[in-house]
Amino acid sequence: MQSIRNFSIIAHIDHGKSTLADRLIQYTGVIPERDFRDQVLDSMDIERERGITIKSQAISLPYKAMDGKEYCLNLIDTPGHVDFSYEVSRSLAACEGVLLVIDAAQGVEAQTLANLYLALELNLEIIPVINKIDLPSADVEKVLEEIDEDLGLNPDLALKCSAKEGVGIREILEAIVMRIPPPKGDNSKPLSALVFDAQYDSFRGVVVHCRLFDGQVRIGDIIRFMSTNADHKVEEVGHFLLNREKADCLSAGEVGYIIAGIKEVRDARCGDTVTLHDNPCSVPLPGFREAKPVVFSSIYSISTEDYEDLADSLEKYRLNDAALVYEKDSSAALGPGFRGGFLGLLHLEIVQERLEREFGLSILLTAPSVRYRLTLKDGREMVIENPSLYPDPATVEYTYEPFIKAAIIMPERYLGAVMKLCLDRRGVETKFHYSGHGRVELTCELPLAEVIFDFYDQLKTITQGYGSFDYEMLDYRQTDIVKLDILVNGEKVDALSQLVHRDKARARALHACERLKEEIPRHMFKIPIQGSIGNTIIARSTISPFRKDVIAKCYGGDITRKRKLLEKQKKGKKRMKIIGSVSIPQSAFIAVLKADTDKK
Amino acid sequence: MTSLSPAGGLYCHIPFCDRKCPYCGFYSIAGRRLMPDFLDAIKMEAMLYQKGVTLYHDFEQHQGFSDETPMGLRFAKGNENTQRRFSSETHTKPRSTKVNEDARWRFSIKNIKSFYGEKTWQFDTLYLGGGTPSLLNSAQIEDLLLHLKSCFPFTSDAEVTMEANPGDLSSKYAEALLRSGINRLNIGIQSFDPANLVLLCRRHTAEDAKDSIKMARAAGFSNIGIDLIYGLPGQTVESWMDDLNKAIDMATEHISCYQLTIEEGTVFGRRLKQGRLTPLPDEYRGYEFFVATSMRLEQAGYCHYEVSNFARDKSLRSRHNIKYWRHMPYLGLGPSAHSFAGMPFLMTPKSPSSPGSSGQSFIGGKRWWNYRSVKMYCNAIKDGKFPIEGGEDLTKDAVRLESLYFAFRTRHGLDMEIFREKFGQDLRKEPAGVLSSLEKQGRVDVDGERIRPTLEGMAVADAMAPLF
Repeated sequence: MQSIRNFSIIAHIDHGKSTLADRLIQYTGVIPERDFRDQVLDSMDIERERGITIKSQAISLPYKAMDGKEYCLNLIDTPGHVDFSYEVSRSLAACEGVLLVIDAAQGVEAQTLANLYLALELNLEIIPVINKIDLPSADVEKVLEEIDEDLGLNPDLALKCSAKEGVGIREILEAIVMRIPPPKGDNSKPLSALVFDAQYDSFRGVVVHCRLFDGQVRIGDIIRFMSTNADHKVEEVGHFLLNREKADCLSAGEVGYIIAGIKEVRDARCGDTVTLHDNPCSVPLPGFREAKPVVFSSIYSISTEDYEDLADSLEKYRLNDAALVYEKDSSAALGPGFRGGFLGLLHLEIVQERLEREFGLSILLTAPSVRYRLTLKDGREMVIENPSLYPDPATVEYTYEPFIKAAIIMPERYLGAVMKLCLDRRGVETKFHYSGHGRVELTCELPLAEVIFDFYDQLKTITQGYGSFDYEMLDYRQTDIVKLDILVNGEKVDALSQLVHRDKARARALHACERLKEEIPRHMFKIPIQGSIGNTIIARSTISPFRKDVIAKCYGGDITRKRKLLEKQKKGKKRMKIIGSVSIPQSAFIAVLKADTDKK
Repeated sequence: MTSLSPAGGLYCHIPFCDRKCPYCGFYSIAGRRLMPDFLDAIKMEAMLYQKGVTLYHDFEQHQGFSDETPMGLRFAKGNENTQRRFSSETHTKPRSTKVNEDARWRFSIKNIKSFYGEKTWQFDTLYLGGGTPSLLNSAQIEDLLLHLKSCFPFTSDAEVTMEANPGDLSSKYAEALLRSGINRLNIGIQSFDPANLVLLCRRHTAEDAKDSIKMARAAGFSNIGIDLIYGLPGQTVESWMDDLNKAIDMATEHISCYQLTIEEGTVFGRRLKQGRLTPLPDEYRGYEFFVATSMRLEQAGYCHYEVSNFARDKSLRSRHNIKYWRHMPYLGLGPSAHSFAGMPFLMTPKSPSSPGSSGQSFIGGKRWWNYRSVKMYCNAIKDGKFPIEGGEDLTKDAVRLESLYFAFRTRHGLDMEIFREKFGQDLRKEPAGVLSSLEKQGRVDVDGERIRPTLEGMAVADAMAPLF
């Protein structure tokens, strides 16, 4: 156990986390050069393209240190977004230390801070690493100052490297060995292992990624998940090298995997504690939380014939994403579909993108909603997150909506703009305090509904990327909600209906009308687009009809070319939804859902 | 015994210009160096199609391969090297997509034959287009016409059109053209406004423009058409009306008015890409130009019979161009020329005695096109091969879609009963409500079985066709 080090890397986006991980992996030679590719731990296309990590990954690096001893360095890669902050906290909980990567040119930035605080809370050893020292714009002195003043860490202990050039990698590996403490644990105690991720393997079922704190686990053991008391017989255990490497047993302090005939990832929840059926530990590891969806949206296939495909794909997708919940839903405009619950807006986007990419689906998602609680006049209570199920407003006595406590950390100069954003979003109890040199932490109680509609994008824009955002659920509070309907050519498009705060209804309706006007192609006739509450029209726009659309010359050589263009046009039209004799492209539904960050 | 097929149109593309106009997307090369080779080649090409009296009867002999050989494929491979060698010299590059289409396309002679049975293809129109056909001297024109007439049967009343550049027309030249058999002149005036002529880089002046028409008239031409362009950068509807009035004063039989479109591969196209082109009228202004043009010319006694075409009398409409819009057969000779064969149903007079027979007729066709390079064209013919670059088999649905956009472009419109018989689609009902709503919107007039576009409809012909 003395030769094990469990660590993670945390960084602001683009500070070079993945590149550093790549270099460490390359240096230790665990992956043969010819198999190596950049961002080796981000295996999904979407991760590589967006430069983000969605799923946790782990890899064991064998390293012979300067002291001549062999070490096993377990690198646990963490997701990097507030929607997954719980997953991050569980990954960090599996470590004894972290590398805190800071860009030598950019200096200390905001996004790392929330994770840094998490690491501090968990009492982890923190090794500051100044990356990209090869850049001409690198200012190492300034970064050292910031480490001292803004982070309150000892700048003398900071390491300097260029992950891109491979400079300073050995020093980092040495620091991991020397400064991060080896895990403590007792093989003779009952098994207690922390699940920090689970992945679905179509041949073996769920592969549970875990960190053992005490005890051991072997093939044939009956393990128990403490949150559900479900038992499974262990088929295989092992460590993470490039691929899974079978082992006889996992021991206290180690990071590894367990395969135990588990069918769905939801049966191996992140943060849960694994113990042995025969010899259970007395208390689970702290911090387990059931992942609760907070954002809801309906998912439809573009063409109704693909509904079965969508159902199949969701079923398969869910095997690998424990956080997604869904049930059947249907729309007059879009046909049968599903109502999904998500951890947050990014989670929603990721689900959409992965369904489209990995399953080749063409899907539509409706405007995201939070879950409201209603008290009806007859005293009955109901919970609602789907606008189509919203009851007659005359029967509603009180409505309650979820509030969150938001924590925003940013450089001082953005405070005014961010406070204004929070007030615009119906924020209350706004407080701030100066946390260090030039930095402010703002806390604010916000309706979740305001946060899921483009809040994060706005914050990023306002703070030029320097604002970090974190939140926790607070409580339900009384509110005034209306159902906003959108009519295209006089016909209600139920999939575009939204539940919104009364004060925000008009702005939201205008937004929808404008975006639809941009996205719906012109037709032969004038198309009115209206936003309404009940029978009252509160916003409108009009799509003017075609005036001129004809090529001037249509002789021998023009005919085939023109026909091919028209055929293409017709094909595109087939993929549109026809509502009120108007063809509405998928992009229109998406545009309404997206806020116009770039237009305000 | 061989009988005659319904009359088709013969087109000859003369791909030479003194210099390229910045807006023109038609294939041509500047300079006349290759003209002699070309004239030999186009005559040879006519002979390739003429050999044997029945249409394409001896096709395979000349190709040196049998009915089933995919001709297009053979060409693509055979000429790969030549294509590469010469493409840098051609002024407009051969369109690259064609090569692929070419490889896919199977030009089966059997199929073409079956369209016509053992009938000969005869022509009632001949059109010399370009390029600038008036770069040929009168002797060359006469020689070409004589040759074509020796190769193919023409009806006695055939319309024989030649495009001419105003600057090229002299009294003597015009008289010679008339004598050689040209009976319709289409003069590329483009504008009577000197500033516009400069903008368009035309080599003639406004005076040349007027003189050329007068000279043609004096030489004895009784059927003269002119081409005009509107919607130029910075042009107003008012200044265009001035221009148009001058044209009306010339009292030609036919006027074509083309709204300037910027095409890829032209000087204007490049300028547009680089953002160096003064903005053209937008859709709404374009519509104003379109309506004003139509109203003014209709008022002056011209019938607006196609989007860009106006004629004083039904008999003065371009008989040749109408073939393009009704799926009538046409044979195109010369580089980049397109040919079409097919649709026997259209060409057979409806026989009331056998109403069921129409259901069995083949609806479809073939369209094929020649190399867009004088050199590749000449080389192919030198090798005794058809200079075909590519082609396509038109499915029934392709023909259907084309029929619709042709119909919405022309005053002629379409006959719903014939349409239903050919394509099995009742436009009144399928798709539901579309025709009646277009009628309500004033885009089409429905009169019995005939649908005609209104002016508002003609203006959006391309958007209307895909609705059905």
